[in-house]
Amino acid sequence: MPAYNRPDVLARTIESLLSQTYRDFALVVTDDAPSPVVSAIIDGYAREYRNVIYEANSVRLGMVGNWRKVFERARQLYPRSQYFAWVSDHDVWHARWLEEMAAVLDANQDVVLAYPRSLRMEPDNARMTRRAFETVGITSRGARIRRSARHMLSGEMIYGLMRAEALEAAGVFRYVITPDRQVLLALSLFGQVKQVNEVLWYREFRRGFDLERQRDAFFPGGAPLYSYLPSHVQHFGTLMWDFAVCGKGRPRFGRAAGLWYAALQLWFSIVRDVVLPKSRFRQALGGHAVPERKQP
Amino acid sequence: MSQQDTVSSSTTAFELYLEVRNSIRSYRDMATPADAFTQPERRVLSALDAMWDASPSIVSLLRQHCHPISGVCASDYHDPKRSLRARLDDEVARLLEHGDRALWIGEPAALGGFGIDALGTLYNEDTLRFFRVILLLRDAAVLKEFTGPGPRRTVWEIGGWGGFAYQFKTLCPHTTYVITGASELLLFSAVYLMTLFPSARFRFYDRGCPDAFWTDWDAIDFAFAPESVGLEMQAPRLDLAVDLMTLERMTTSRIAAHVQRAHDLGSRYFVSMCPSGNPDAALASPVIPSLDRYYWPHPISTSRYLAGALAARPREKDPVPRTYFLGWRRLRT
Repeated sequence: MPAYNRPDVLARTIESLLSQTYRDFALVVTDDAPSPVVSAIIDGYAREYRNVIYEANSVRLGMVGNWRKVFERARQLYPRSQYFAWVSDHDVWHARWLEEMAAVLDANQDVVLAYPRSLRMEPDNARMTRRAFETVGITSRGARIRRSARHMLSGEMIYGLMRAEALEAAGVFRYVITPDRQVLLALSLFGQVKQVNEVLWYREFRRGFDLERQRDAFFPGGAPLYSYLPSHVQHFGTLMWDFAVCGKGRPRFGRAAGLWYAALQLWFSIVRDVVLPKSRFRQALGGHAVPERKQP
Repeated sequence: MSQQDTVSSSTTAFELYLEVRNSIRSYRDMATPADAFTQPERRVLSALDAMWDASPSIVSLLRQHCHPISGVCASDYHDPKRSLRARLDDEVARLLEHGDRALWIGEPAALGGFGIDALGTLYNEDTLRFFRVILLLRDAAVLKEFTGPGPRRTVWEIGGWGGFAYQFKTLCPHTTYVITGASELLLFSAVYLMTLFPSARFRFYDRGCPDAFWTDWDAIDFAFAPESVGLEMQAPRLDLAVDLMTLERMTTSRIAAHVQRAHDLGSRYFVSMCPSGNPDAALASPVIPSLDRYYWPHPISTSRYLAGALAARPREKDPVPRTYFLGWRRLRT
């Protein structure tokens, strides 16, 4: 849990996680906005539940840095743990969430990410999401990244349960705009995605998508120039660097294939923006307001 | 159903009534002290008092005597007003559009079941209330835990006349369903359920050997106990607590005691149909403050979701506007 100043709902979130029917897990919290209130809440649970670990960052890392740190600490503390999930400090999880997601990963070695349908929590309302996306049964990496670039639900999938090794190979979170999308595209090269057709995650919805706010949140020391490039170009750059230049996809796939996948991602992400009727690109062209989308 | 079947069914129901009455008559001595009853509770219990000496004809129409418990009156359905019919038709259409036809359980015709005849079954206001609760549990991904395979689950309903228990057990046969409450209410629910589930296994709390009540719960379908025993329940497990307009008739301390007992026994969920705000004290007690203390409100039980997906809008004419509360268990209270 990369925490950031949500003492108002933190206890509810932690209790939903500690109420999981699947008991063999640890909750690692790295706090990027430590305060006496937040630490008192988490310490209270940590005293009672030995699987709760709390660490306050001495320096603000920003959102990407904190998401990376929580993954790294979890890997250090529990190197034998096969699965990993990021959880927010404000959403609510159904008690069977972990049990159902782990069952999917246990049953299918080709699946690297399992996530459920979600319910959008709004003040005094709740809406169930109907959208579906998965790549189960698609064995071709090219076909998976193509389909992911066009149709994936990054804001939902990023909170799914993942194979930790595959996530590590995919590069965890990168310092780019929409890093959730970037890592999920990379992850699609390492396996399939399965959506569990049950609403097991309740997602708080407060604000819309805002690039400026992302830059502020991701880069506390100031946004680098490349962060002003279109996000697909940033993602193309990181994928090309990781898989075509550094060869991080080996032994699964080589550098040339890595370059091809990065190019496929770029092309199909652009196609998505052009084709999707509600894409921010289309709406910006039409002069409409940018639709609301939650940042990870 | 032929006339002969009806006569046979009535005879059986009356025999069951005598059996149940014999089992639970002693609960009257264990009842909550009369001064602990609230005004609304006294009204209900006094309206049901005649049931202790019911004739076979009254028992054969048992369902039509549940009016004091749920407020749903059979006479309203003999020749339903156009406005009532239109409202219920609209609500059932919306519920079925949102929900799942396979979860729809109509009002049984047995024991004087009544309602609007549609969808191949009878239905009335109670039927829709229970269907809403079922859909709420389904939408919250709770129902699957009771319908699916896995260990046998236990449900505790506080009061009621047996209508929700009938719907729930029809959908989730692999559950042990415990009902506690005033003996007058148990007289209704036990006879009703024994008539509708003739092959089910029933157990009544026996003051002579109280410990036996809590053993081997996997082997029974329905268990009945007075309120005082329910508050000291030693169920081996509890998965869901249900209140459909029963708690609201109690004092706030008894409401809190029930909710706390469910929480102490580890009930992961608590579902309640109860007043939505601060009701007139002469009509009902507030229930949500006690629920809130022990259970987090489930994200799905918001007023707009209930009004939209479950067609559950509090009606202005209702003396006690009600809502549906689904809570999941707090780890700290």
